[in-house]
Amino acid sequence: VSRALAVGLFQGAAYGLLAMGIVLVHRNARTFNVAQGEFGSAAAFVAFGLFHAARLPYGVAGALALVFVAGLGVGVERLVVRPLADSAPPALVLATAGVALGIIAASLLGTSAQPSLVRASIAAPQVAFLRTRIGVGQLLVVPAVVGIGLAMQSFLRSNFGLAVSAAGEDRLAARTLGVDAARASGLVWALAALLGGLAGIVLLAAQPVLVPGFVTMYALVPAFAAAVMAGMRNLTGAAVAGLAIGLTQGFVSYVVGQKLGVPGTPELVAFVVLLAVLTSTSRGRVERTVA
Amino acid sequence: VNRVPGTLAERRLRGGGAIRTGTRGGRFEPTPAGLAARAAVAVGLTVFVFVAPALATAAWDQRIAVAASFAVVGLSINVLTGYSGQVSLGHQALVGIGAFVSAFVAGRVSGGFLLALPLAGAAAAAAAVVVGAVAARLDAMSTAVVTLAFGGAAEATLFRIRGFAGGAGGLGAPRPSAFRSDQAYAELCLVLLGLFLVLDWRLSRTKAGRAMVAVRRDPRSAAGFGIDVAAYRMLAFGVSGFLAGVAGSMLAHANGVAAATEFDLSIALVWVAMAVVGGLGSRAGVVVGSALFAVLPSLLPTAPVHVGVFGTRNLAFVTPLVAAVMAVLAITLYPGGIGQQLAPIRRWLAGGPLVAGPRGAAVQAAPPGVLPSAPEDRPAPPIPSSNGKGAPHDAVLDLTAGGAPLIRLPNPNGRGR
Repeated sequence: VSRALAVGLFQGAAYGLLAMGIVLVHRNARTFNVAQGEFGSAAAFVAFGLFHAARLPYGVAGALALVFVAGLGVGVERLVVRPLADSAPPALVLATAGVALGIIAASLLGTSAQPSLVRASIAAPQVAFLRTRIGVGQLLVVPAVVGIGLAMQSFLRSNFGLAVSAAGEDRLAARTLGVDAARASGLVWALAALLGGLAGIVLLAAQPVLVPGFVTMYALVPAFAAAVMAGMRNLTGAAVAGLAIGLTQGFVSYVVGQKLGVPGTPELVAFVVLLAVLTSTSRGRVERTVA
Repeated sequence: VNRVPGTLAERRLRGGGAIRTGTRGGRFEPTPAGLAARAAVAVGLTVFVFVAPALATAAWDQRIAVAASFAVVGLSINVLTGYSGQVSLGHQALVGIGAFVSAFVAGRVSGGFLLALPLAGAAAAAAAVVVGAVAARLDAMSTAVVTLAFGGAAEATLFRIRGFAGGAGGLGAPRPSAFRSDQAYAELCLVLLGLFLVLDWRLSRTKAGRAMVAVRRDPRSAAGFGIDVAAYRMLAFGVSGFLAGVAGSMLAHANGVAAATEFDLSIALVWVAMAVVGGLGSRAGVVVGSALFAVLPSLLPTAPVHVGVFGTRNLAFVTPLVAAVMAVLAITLYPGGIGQQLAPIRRWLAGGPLVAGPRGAAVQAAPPGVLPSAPEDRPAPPIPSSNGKGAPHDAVLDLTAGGAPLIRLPNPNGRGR
């Protein structure tokens, strides 16, 4: 059980980080960034590539990967998000889905022709990395994620953070009042990509399987559920909710998945949690009153 | 009757028609010769489509069958996203359910293709309605995540049950005995595609079809007009699920096998991208876009190829990469997609002018834009009312049949912009 809970904690940390990115983008652009998970996959692939192929120390590889992914976030904001700033809701969701697909395709290019071989060669150093750090990691990951959440929350109360939210409430009014909406948007996407990248690297430590799209497949749904639980507003709440969902998932997967042998229990848990959260919170309430 | 001014060549360019003034108020009508030309082209195109499988090699017949299946997937996504404005990131589950049900009925139970096809559609439609029942009450982004979660859960659970999905080797999906050859099966798939195109076209002209579009344009205004928003969103999910299921059936029998590895997240995203590239809201565009991404992977070499600094690589990444780049370009720069480029041909075939001049403008109605138009075409953002009471969206109810709505408000999550 402790092993399952440890993995759940790592996964929960990844969910929390992703959820913070989702909340941040939603506060600024009022949309859901489908590519949030793929920022994590991109960071994981780059980090692993540098670690494995270029033989850099893991910390350096991770830091470089985070820098890369922040740049990716800025690029996505500039080329995809900004042209669609005034468009109808489904357009940005579709566009970020396109970005996610692009990153999945790029990671397919980054893996070699035989996926099984890649998996075997990745699993070895990652497990070793996990073994050496799991004791410390378990202790550090919860305060680290909650700390990032608190720091981000206080950042949102700064002038710049207020500008971010103002641009999300009413872009035109914010611009009229002298808010640099474009700069706010760029920084939000860089930060969101950074959080996503961190989530990808943490998730890789929990599940040493590097396959294209793995962060989207394993973590995006619970992260969105965590973001909704935090009302799409509170960053610390999103971090805590992510950790809670991860722990729940780890525990239920252990009981139902391993003891009863149901395939895909983590995905089922994520689905059920999402439905429970969406039907019990106020999301979509406006439409429910008219529908 | 006033003849159109201009040289004969100019008239030809406009489609060989005359503009009748009089009671019809400047409506363009083709001359008899123009009508004959249109009929000849329409018949020629139709004949070509159905003769093509006989002329093509077996490999191309197989590609035609897969392309027709993908086109039905595209229509399925078009009903959901193009009509009702909901995004599905979990279509691999619906198409997969169709494929496995069809393979099970035709293969394990020997029920025959004629029974397997509708059952596949019904099973996928049932699953889609269940998802839709939840999604109908949510905004676009929550719907996207619910379908993503559904797709992931189906992939990880349903498709791993050996009795349902046949395990690692997949389920054998025998073709119907009369259509065993690649050519005959390609013809069958084309006939089915034609059937579903007609059904889709008729659906779009019904009350339900118009209601779905109204729901996409503005859920609140639609509700104000007495449209049951949740019910029509669920209906869109049901129709989309049915089309996805029959597409899965067509695909499974084209390949002879339904395997779980075919239905993953990246193919679901490719399907969404191909519908966007085709042009949401345009049947012809979606069919062309889908066929493009169905055929593309089969044209690439299967053996790994040397790709620059990346070394020797399998080319499986090319199709999703092309789909992603084209989809993002389509959304940001060419929101009409391929459908917009095909619009002049469609307009001409429907009896309009090929080049819409100023006087032919009456028939130049642009296809209703699902995605926003390019930035420079967009009207200036609304100025919020200053009395502090009336939010800007109170003033605007746009339910017109053609053209993009003037002002896009409010966000369905209730936060007006």
